[in-house]
Amino acid sequence: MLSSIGFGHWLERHRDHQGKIVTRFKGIVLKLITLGSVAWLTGCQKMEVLQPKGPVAADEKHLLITAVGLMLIIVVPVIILTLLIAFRYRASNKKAKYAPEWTHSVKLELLWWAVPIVIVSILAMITWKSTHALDPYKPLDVPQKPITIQVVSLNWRWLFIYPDQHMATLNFVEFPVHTPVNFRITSDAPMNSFQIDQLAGQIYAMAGMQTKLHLMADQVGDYNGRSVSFSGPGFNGMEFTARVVTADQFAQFVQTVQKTNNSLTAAAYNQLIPDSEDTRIVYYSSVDDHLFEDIMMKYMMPMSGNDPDGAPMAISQK
Amino acid sequence: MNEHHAQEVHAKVTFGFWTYLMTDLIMFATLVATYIVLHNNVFGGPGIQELTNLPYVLIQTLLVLTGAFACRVGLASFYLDCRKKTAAWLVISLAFAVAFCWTQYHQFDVLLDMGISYQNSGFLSAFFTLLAIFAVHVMIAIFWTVILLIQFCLPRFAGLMKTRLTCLSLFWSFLSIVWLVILTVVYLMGAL
Amino acid sequence: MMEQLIFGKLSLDAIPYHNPIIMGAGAFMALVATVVLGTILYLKKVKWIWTEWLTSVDHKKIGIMYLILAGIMFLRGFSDAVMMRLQQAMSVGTNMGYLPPEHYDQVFTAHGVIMIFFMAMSFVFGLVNIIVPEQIGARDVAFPYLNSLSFWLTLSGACLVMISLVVGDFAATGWLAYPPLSELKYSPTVGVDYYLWALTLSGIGTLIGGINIFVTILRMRCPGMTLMKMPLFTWSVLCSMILVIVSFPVLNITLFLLFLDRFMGMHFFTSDFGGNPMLYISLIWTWGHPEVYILVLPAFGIFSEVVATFSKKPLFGYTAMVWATAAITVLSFTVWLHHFFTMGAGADVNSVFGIATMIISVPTGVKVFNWLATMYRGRVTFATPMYWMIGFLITFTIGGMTGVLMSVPGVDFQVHNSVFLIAHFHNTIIGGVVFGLFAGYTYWFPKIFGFKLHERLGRWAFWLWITGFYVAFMPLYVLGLMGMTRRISHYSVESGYHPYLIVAAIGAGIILCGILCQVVQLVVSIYQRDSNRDLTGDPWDGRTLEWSIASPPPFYNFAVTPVVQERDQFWADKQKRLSGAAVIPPRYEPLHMPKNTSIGFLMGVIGGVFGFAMVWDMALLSMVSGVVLLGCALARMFNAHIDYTVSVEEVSKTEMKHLVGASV
Repeated sequence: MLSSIGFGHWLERHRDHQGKIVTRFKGIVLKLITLGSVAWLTGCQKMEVLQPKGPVAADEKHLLITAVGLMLIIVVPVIILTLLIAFRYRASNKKAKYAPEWTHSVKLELLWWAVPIVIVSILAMITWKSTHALDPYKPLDVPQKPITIQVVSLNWRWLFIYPDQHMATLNFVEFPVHTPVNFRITSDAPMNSFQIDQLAGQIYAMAGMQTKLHLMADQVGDYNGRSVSFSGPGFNGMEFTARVVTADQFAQFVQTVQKTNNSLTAAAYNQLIPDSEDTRIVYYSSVDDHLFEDIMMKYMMPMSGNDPDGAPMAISQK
Repeated sequence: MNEHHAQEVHAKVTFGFWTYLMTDLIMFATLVATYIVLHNNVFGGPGIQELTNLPYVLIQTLLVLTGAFACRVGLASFYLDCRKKTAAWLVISLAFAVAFCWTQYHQFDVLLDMGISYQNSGFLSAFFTLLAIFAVHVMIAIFWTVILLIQFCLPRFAGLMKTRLTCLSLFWSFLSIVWLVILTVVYLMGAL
Repeated sequence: MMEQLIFGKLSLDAIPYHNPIIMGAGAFMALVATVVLGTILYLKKVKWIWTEWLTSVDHKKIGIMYLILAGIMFLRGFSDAVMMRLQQAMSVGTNMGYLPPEHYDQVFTAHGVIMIFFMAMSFVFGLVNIIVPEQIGARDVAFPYLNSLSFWLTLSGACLVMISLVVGDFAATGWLAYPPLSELKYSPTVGVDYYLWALTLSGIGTLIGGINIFVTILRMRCPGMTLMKMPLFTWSVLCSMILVIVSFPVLNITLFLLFLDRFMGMHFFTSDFGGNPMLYISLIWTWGHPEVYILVLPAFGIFSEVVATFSKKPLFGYTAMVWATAAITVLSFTVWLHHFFTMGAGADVNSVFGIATMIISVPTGVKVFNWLATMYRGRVTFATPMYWMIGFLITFTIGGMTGVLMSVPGVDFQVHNSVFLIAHFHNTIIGGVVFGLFAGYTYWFPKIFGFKLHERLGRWAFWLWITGFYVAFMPLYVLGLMGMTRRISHYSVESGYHPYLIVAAIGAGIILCGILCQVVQLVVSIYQRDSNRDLTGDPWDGRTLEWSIASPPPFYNFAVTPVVQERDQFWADKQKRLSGAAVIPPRYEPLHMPKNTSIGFLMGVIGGVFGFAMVWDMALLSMVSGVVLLGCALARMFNAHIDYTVSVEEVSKTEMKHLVGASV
């Protein structure tokens, strides 16, 4: 920041840059940069990635900050050096030494190969450890009993199936605090990506395949979830709320859902497949067993009614 | 000096053509990798075991390798200034190329008649496409050989024949290598 | 039946009459085309265009045409950017903006495709084509006819993209057209087909071009110029062309397989019937990562030339720079999975690719330090190219940092596909590639056209560009951390994105001013060209061979092939001359030059027709144009007289003209 102001002063003094318009323009530019930096930093309160509410997201945030810190060791000196060297060795500065024969230095080469190699090595070790620790497929190492929620991305909504509670919700998911959640994810649509960024990183949702995401929430509240991989014109609205509640509230929620007289049969599911941007929350009091597996299987094995060029495939009625 | 220039041009063109063959090799490598990834995706249909007929594949292999060999002998004859022999060997390699293309067409014909189509599964799409693109390359060798046989008889191409025949011969070597890879990865590994 | 054969799926319904934006853009394109054609006809220059440009195989002319294509596509791609920034700045809460998602999705797809394939690649190939033969003392590239073919194929690909604006639609899948979204099931219109054919045509052109330059550098260097005496720009280009040669076949075949899925009902990448969409992603990024190095290595090469010339000092650590470039080339093949860490490859695989990505930052950092050491104890003049250099050093370093940040899979899981990613790659592409190309453009402009660009307007353009860049993209880093996804055209008030997107739109506006500055600069420079003539061929006191010939050079470049004994031979010769060494008068000999040919142009145009016919299932036109294409190729193969000799008299006459300094 300071060096850029110094550079600006140098420019104003430099003979080639006469013209008050130019000087004033540079002043405006510098003011914009300052204002911008301040505004930039005040966005902090809404930066969800930096406000984790679960252990996975918290670890990811620490990783981000550590990595940035390590790299600033190189980046800041480089930027400062660039401006200093450009300023000092400008042609009009007769005081600076001119050494046109100096083209090679083994010592310097060793230095600037070695220092980055050291920093990259440290970062590499951190990467190996953290990638394994933060593997989305790895269940959380906590004593609490996990809850399994199956997720299906549709065009352009999210379906959540609770296999143990035999119920489902559309465009909404709720689970208890301090409880590890084992998400099992697939797609009945183009590729999407499932993310609740204050709780964990993302994982792709792909048809015919099951991906996994393990996370836990440390605080009750409503968190934003959405698809993070473009899947067509309705992609804008592919958001959902992830509500984290106490264990009692969750039990109540389960009861509420199971009381709605709305069954997610194969036929009802097939109604959800065609393109729709209707993001209203729907509760399903009962779900066909193995619905999630059926959704995956229809991409993996031929079934009656497969029409490769026609309408989206229906689940066969049982 | 003119000869020096001609030699430079020959080296430059053959090097450029060889570089092009490397890119074609990478293209085939991608196709083979695609085949490997998809070869189990039969989607309930036939797999490679059902489609492999090793004696037939042996014939195809002999056709390709002999065609390549014939072209190389033709090139050697050209270097020895035996024009008639050059033309003869080129015609032989042309015949083997045509025969190979016919065997490939016949194989596809039989499969499609049985309802085994490239539209049925990822495996079949990869299988048909890999073999078809190889066959298209052999067809290119056929057209190229015909053109060179014509140009062989026209005096204005005399200075260019050495380079063009060298490139054709390189192309045949390339076809042999690709076929051997296809033979191994698709048929031999599939049959075992 | 006949109608089906001739017109396929094409009908008047394909033109979106109801869409004022598209109709306006179409009218504008038609107007520009009419003005250009009209001017040519009015000035009776049709024959001149044909003999001097359309049928030319001169690398300098082909390079200029690539540069013009890049400029035009830059304006188109940037219009897409402005449209996106405007939409995102407007469409919050109940305001849906002015672009419905179906249209917006095509805009961001077109923006990416145009900027990478038709702006950046054309710009790079333009500068490479013109400068590399001149730097190595050659008279043309290895295969001049194929060079012409490459350009016309690229142009016809660009034309398909432009036509898709008014006839049919374009892909709405993102610039890499991931399946299953890009399969027929989810993209039933012709948009993806336009995409596939535009990229197939230009992909073949680029591959041929890569082979061409590769052979040129390895086979056509002047006597004495060993590899370790080549200018670093040529080294960077050699490495970049190796990347083209190895990676473009993968792109071409992958796109072809997607075409087979759509056109022949195959199942390479469908979700069902045994297809594997993840395979497409893996293959396309096997090309995609080397592609960004294909673009940035020549930019690094340009900076190496610029920093040495304007510091009046040889490039520091030449050997280390060569090795660093080679290391980057090799390593760029080992990192592609970092584009899909979130696809679930497992921790071992993700770690390996993450670490490989970090390793690339080491040779890149080495280059930065060597550039700084070149300036250190040099005498730095700040002409416009040096401004771009300083801007690059700062901006690209920040972009590289965010890249290494995202190469840590745990971090990437959070920010992948957010606008943080957008900010990162624009940071490196604009800060690295675009700034480099602008530096090269201003540096070599006098060599190409014979007069300098207006200096002050160049600096204005730089300041507007760099300010605009930071104002436009720094908010995106914040937005990414706030959780904003890429490719959305509407968001809620509660998200808090709105103020940042307004700032980003202002930034785009500032960049627009920078671009306008560059356009004005070009116009003013042409107008004032007589007072800015480069009469010596060496306006910057350069170091490499291209500055030893006139500006613009005669069609054969070097009347006498130079003989090289050391690096920066031209600089050494100048010092010797300054210290009073005798100048030996040149001895001319007859030169072999390639003849013009129309085949490249014809095959390019007909290739475009073939692509259009395939997009619309116009069976008859496809077959006819396919046959004509083969016919053109045959015609070329049966053409035995493809070069001619330039007599000694003509050479000495042309040299005299240039030495006297008369305008050509």
